Amino acid sequence: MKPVAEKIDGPSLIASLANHSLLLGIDGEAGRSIAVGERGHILLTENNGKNWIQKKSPTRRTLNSVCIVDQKTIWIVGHQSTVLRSQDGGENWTKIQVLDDPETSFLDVLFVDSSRGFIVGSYGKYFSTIDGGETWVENEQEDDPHFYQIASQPNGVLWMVGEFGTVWKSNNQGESWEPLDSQYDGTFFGVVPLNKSSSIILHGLQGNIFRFKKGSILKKIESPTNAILQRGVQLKDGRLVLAAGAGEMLLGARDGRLFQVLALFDKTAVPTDLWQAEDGSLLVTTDRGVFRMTLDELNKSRLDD
Amino acid sequence: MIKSSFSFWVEQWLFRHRVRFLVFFLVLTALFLGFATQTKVDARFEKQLPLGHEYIQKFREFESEFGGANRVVLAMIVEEGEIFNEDYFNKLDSLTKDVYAMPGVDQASVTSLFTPNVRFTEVVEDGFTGGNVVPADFANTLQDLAKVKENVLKSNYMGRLVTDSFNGAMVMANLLDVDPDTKEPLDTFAVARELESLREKYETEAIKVHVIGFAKVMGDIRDGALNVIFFFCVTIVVTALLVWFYSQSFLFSILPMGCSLAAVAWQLGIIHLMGFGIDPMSILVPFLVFAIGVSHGVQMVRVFRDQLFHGEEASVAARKAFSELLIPGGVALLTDTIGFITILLIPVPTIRELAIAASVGVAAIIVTNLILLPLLLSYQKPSHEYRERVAKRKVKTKKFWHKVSVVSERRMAKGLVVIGALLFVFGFDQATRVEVGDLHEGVPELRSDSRYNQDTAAITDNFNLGVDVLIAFVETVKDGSVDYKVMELLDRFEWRLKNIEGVKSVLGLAGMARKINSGYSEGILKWQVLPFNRDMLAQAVGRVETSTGLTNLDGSVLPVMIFLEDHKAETIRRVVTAVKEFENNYGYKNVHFSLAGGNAGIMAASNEVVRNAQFPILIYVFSAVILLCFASFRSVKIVTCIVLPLALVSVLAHTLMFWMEIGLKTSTLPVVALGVGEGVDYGIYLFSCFIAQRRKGLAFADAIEAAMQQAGSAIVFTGLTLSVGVGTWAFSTLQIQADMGILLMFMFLMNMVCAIVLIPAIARLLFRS
Repeated sequence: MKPVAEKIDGPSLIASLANHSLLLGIDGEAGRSIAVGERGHILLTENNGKNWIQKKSPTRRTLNSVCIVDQKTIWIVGHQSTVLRSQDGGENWTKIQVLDDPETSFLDVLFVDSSRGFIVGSYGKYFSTIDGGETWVENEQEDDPHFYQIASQPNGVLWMVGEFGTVWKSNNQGESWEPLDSQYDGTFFGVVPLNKSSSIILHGLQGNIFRFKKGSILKKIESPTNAILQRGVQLKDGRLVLAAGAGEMLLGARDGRLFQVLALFDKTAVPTDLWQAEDGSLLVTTDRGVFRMTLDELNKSRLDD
Repeated sequence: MIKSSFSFWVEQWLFRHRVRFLVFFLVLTALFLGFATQTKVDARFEKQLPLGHEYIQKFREFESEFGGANRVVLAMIVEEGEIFNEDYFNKLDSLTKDVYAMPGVDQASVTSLFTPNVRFTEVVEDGFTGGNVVPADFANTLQDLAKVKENVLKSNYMGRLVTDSFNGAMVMANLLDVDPDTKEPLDTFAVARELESLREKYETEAIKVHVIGFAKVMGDIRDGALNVIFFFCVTIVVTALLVWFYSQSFLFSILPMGCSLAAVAWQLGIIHLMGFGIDPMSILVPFLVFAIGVSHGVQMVRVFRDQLFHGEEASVAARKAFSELLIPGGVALLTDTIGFITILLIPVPTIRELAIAASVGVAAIIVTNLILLPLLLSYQKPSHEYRERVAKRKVKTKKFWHKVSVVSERRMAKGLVVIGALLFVFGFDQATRVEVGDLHEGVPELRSDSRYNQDTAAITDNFNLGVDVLIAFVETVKDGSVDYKVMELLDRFEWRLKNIEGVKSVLGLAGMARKINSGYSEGILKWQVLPFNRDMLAQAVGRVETSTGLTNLDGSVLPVMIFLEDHKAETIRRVVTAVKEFENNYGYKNVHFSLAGGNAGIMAASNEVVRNAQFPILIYVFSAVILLCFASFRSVKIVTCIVLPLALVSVLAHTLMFWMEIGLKTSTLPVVALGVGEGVDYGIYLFSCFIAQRRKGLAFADAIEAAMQQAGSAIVFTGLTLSVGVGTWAFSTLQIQADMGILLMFMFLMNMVCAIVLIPAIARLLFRS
């Protein structure tokens, strides 16, 4: 028999370098943002990312994604089927048992409203709730790719992307899913639904960016990088930013038809996730902590167009 | 002073057979001189390791398994522009080949852009792809160079083999302990010479070659140590002038100097017979022996001359000088020896050899300068003219010492003692601030502006390479490296250390395995975790080769390399404390966190050894001085007079260390013992004269003045001679020698000043008129 590893966990260490550690997910609401990452690190800012405070966390496992539902409720998911919930705006966190499997990694969490939420993860794991996370239901399906992101369009359409060119779409709040033929075998790490149009942007390995417009097929966009593109966000002014390789991001204009490189201050930091704070500044989680780029700095780049 | 029948009996016996003894001593000296010329330089690294210390035992235990520590690095950095041009790559190619060809190099370990072990990998749709950074068909064309640049960017070697700004690249190689061709132990110095010749071959105006590595350090230290021979010559010349000035006679200069050089020959010959070589520390001993020898020789000449002026025949004068000085000289030299022997408390072989060599040397002085010298003197017949010249000068010095003797007037004495006390209090406060360990950047043995330390700075500034590294050994069970529980703890250990102030970065198997796991998952950072699944963990760990030094073959010892910002004792101590705390809190049956490897690990051990020996050494050396003085003089008052100034000087020596930013290290710790052991000589000579005068029935003031007239000049002379002997070290290219030289010179001079100023003052307050 194969030796089974002992399940071990414990509270995260409050560390001076937590804000320089590998951070993987970020979400925000108003002036507040929460960034999560390795060693159970949970960092909170109340001033648009100027200062970050590490919060006590009941786990040391690597946390992948965070979703702020409302002013009080926040969800975090991570490796070894870790799920955390805060009901006081991110001050205190408790473990929620959705699945007890140390070999399952939860990669993304999304709540479309206060009751309806989704958790996706490795090997096709996909859970949903309709009662604000009191009960979670596993939705079995035949395929088992890693699902890297689940996102919703303003019109309520849900998108789920992952390995092997997986792009799933749901028009009914996740009741049923329709796989799309992406004509691509590689991994999609993220999907950015565009606000003011029905288009979505898919991104993944080797700098691949695809644009998908309702009723038409995927269109490959010329990419200025061949680094992996881990996450993306649409800014309030309509531009897009994608996390690319070490020290670089991609700034997208014209609804994701044109991309150019946007440099990060730290040339060696690899960006992992992005969030535009209330004051317009861009908060970027990286393997060396979270960076803040002000709106002015972002707008300087626009002149290069 | 006890005037025993012993010295009378020895005197009778010795002088009756003086021809036989002379021949015997001269033959012995010739023999030892022969052995002395065979002395070998022995600067082995192990000799600097504190023996028996738990860190060193661990270091030794794992040394063979993780032998890759003996690494050399040659970096070529261009002054302007980038390295991607034909000329640079031709040079790098040729340098790489030259390094392959170097004796003692582990060929598989040679790493540069041109070696086949330097590959890049890329994550593509269907997994990894990759190749050699410099492809096999590289023809040094512009296109080829562009391709190499692209490959480097995709590789893990940015900042490691090539600088981040593309202005330099390096060749690394590990050295084997035993040369595979000759089966001989590696000749570190030959490697050092080879490295220096490679530097000469490739360095130009536009390209600077920087060389670092343990072998190079040892080579540079050896070269520096050998330069000391030049200082030895300078010392002899200056000392000769001083002796001549004091004795006013060619013969009376040559004899004590010759006898002292004979003592040096004896010392070197004997330690060669004992199987010791000479190293950068013990090479300083001959200076000390020579200087101490000369100072005792001069005392002998002084007494002999005094007897002559009293109208004695040369042979009688020599006999009297011998029997008068055998006891005080012997006691003084014995005290020196005991001072040196306390240094044995520091369990570091180089320091112990220093202590042994110095003790042997001082023992040799007893023979050459207390026995051989009076035998030689007994044949001298100084001219009448010489007597007059000395007598004339004596009048001058008499006036001088009369003036100096005001220090023993009551009011003056009080003032001086108060000043001394204040200095002591002030000095004590400063002395407590002396830090243990090395306080400066770079290799502590060499000067901070030495070529080696400049090379180190150039390489660490341009490459992501730390030179101050402490290695913690994580000892676990076989296959611990694929046990999630062990690896999770290791990961936390690495993180805990990274958070310690003064730690630059931490390299361990857990962090490495996490990165590799992310690589297996298409490079996405969400998978930079330790896989819980044992097979996946094994897959990640399996890619880490033992040559990284992060794991052994069966995964039971997992060293963690902790790169430090500096090697200050405080920084090292913080890390050491953190590792010990972690072991106490989380170590268990299957996982233990132990110390230590790396240069900072050895420093940690040395620092602890120094900290532990710091006070015992002082206590022992002072106890020895007190006991011997008491045994000689049987007077608490005299012991007080002798010991208090010594205490003041040793406190002031620490003050000087604090001001000059000299740390308390294995090389500077013995200095105080040497200084105190030697400084007691002055007091002993002064008081033996003083007591002789008192016996004649002189009042205190007259007795002190007479003693100062008799011994004062010799004391000043001795202080100067000794200071010259060690003062030349201040110009050594080796920082350790310079530190020791400056400190010893300070102590010798201060001891002299205190002997002629403070001892009479204290005596005034203690003795009745």
